[in-house]
Amino acid sequence: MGFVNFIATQIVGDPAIMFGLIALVGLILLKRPIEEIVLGTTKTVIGFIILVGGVGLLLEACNPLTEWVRAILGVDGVVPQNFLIMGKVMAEYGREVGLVVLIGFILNLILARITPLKYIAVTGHIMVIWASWIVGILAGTSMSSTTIIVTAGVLCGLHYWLTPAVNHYFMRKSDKLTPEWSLYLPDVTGIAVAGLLGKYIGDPDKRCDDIKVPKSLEWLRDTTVGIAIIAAVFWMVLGLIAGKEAVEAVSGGKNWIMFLMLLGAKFAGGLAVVIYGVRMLLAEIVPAFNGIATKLIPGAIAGLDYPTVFQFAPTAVFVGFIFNLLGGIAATLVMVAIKFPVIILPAVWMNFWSGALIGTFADAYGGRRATIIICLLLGFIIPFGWGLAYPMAGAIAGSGAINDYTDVSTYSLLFQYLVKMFVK
Amino acid sequence: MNNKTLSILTICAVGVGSSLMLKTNVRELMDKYSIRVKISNSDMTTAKGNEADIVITTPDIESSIRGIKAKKIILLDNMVSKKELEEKLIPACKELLENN
Repeated sequence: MGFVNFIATQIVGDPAIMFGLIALVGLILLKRPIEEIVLGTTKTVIGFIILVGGVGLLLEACNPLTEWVRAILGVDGVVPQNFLIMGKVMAEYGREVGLVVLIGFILNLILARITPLKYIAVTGHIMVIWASWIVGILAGTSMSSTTIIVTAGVLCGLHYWLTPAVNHYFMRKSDKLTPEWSLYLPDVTGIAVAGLLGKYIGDPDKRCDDIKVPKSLEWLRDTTVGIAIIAAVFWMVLGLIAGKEAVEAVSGGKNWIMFLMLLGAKFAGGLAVVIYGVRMLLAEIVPAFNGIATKLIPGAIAGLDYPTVFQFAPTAVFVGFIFNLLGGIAATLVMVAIKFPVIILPAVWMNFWSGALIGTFADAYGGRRATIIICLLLGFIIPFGWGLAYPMAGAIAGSGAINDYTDVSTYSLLFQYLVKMFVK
Repeated sequence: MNNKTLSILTICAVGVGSSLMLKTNVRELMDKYSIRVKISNSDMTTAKGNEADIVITTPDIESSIRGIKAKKIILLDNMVSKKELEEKLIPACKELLENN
């Protein structure tokens, strides 16, 4: 028993070792040379440690913000940022997340193999983010660790399989996109709204590409820089309203204005560290997953990442981002005005990714008019769903952060209500 | 082909999704042509801190990485296309291997 216990707690139970093992097995299956196996496995373990370190930095930047919003408005201020959710849940439930991704991946392979829907998710970081989200929600219940792993594993397997299946419908229905691949992105909501309503709102032949986007705005595509600047502005405004005393209470002796100026940069820096860790963690695992998946399921359609469709509407990417962000800023202001129980701050990060994606689909189905209207409206409406999701997010509730895909405000919210009603 | 090892860097906006997919495609191609390479992936914000023989990215990222230390920069119009990658990358590899 002592030996089994050792394996359970010290090997499988340690997320850093757990992810290292997944990489090790993957690299061996891919028949990489020995030095690459050693290098890849070690990098995966270090990646996890870096990821956890970055979360500390991110939370350091977020916590004062949450406190000030509470002090000013008496409600929770929440930052929408899915990498923060991922990092936070992995730091606490890393073993569960690792196993959930593994079970989900295997289930996805089986389903794609035996059913006519040949879809496999290969966007590794989003698979881990979604697994973290589901584990985080379930960790708020009295479920045992094993029950959480099995339940979340099955749910993620279905999610990895069905998300690219639905997205592919909208990829192939427009001659301006492509049927060659699909997307594994929890933005089915945004894609479906653009795909179904686009044609009623605008004309697909009057495209965004007719609009000229000034070169001077190109830097905004660098989301790390964009987030630092926009976060700094927002946090500065909040800090100034909260006042000198409230800020100096957490500034550790630093001048309050200087402290405020650096908070945005600290947030962006923390985010960059987390992503650096994620990159090291996944750099060896994802190619192994892909290699196995494509070998086992010939003719599979891969669920890929956001930028793979940006080429179909380069200007819509930009127009979608700007109007999605404007919608998000309006949502924050309205939440403050109507005293919504949770104040969702502008996402910026996902305003870029979701906004650009929805913009691409809206442009293909309804031209520039649809791009502007749909991105603005979704940018405004979706955060209210995040606000409802936040208090029900189990281990994530109270963290000051929320997952920020459009699907979090639709079927995922329904799932959270079901968990709340039926799971004690 | 000779024994020299080339270094290749793939870059996308965040450095965790598309650059990783590109890395897999590059690995597959290099195995097919038996070219020895060391491949890594990066995001556009920190990419300039790296150097490589060949940098592979998309045209929209190009302006953000201007001045990066690389012997060749390959821009892919369609980052999913293995054919375009093969057509652009293999001649670049051959040129670098022959010149050294």
